[in-house]
Amino acid sequence: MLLGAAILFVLVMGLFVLTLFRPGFGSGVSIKGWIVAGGLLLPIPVLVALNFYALFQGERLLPGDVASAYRIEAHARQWQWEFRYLDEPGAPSTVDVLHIPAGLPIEVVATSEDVIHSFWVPRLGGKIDATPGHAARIRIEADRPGIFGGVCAEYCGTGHSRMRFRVEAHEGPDFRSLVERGFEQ
Amino acid sequence: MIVLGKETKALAMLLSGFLLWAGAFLLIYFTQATGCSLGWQEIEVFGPLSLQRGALIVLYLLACGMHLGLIYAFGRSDTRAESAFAHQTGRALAFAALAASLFCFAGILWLTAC
Repeated sequence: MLLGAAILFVLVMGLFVLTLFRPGFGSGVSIKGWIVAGGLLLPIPVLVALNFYALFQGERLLPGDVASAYRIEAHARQWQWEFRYLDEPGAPSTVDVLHIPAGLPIEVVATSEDVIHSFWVPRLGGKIDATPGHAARIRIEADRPGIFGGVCAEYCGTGHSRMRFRVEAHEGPDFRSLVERGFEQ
Repeated sequence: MIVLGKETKALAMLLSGFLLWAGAFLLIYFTQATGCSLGWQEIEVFGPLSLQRGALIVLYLLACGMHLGLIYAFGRSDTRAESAFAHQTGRALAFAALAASLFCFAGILWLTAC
């Protein structure tokens, strides 16, 4: 994505610089030719490719086979996140820290107690609004263990900017023992 | 019957294609959200085809049909004499709007409905 953007940027800026420093550059192509090439032939394939990429990514983020995903409820309130482990009966919930097993699809069920919030972990996938009275679902997955930052992505009051959380992805056995310890590290 | 002035007619010709696209967008978006809320994706009406996808496909075909109707109307109407520019541009925009609808709304055929 970055490479594609860099190539397009260099191409456009290169053409711009050439028109500045080489008078008469491009005069061999008609005005209509420039409009068709720059206004249709260049942007349409790029936009179509980006569109399909976004749609396929969107499909991947949707909850698919529910039985295979590990389910967690992200319950938002002003201004903190409480994570409830739906597949771990008896496990305590955690506040502003979400523990997940790495390499496994996680279905996050976003709910809210008061106003509209939005669950977003940029490194792990898309975001979803947590709306009072609704249970919105999104799928995230960490390919490897690590710590990933998360934020509330919908302005939700004066404490919005402080409403951050972190996702800690653990190896399968480490995650299991952490659950058994009641998330005491 | 409302008689449009020359300028209003020219404006209507220029806007018609993409106004139709905007109307179709609103209708499809509204139906998608309402259908999901009412659980239409779980009601099967024709084999594996759900009521949700069926309703969206009907709207998609309806929108394409209306676009084709508009293009046909441009071919028949005798407005060239009033404003050749508006007629020619409006007709080109009607084709562009048909292409936009075919492409933008095609997702209803294969994307997850809800």
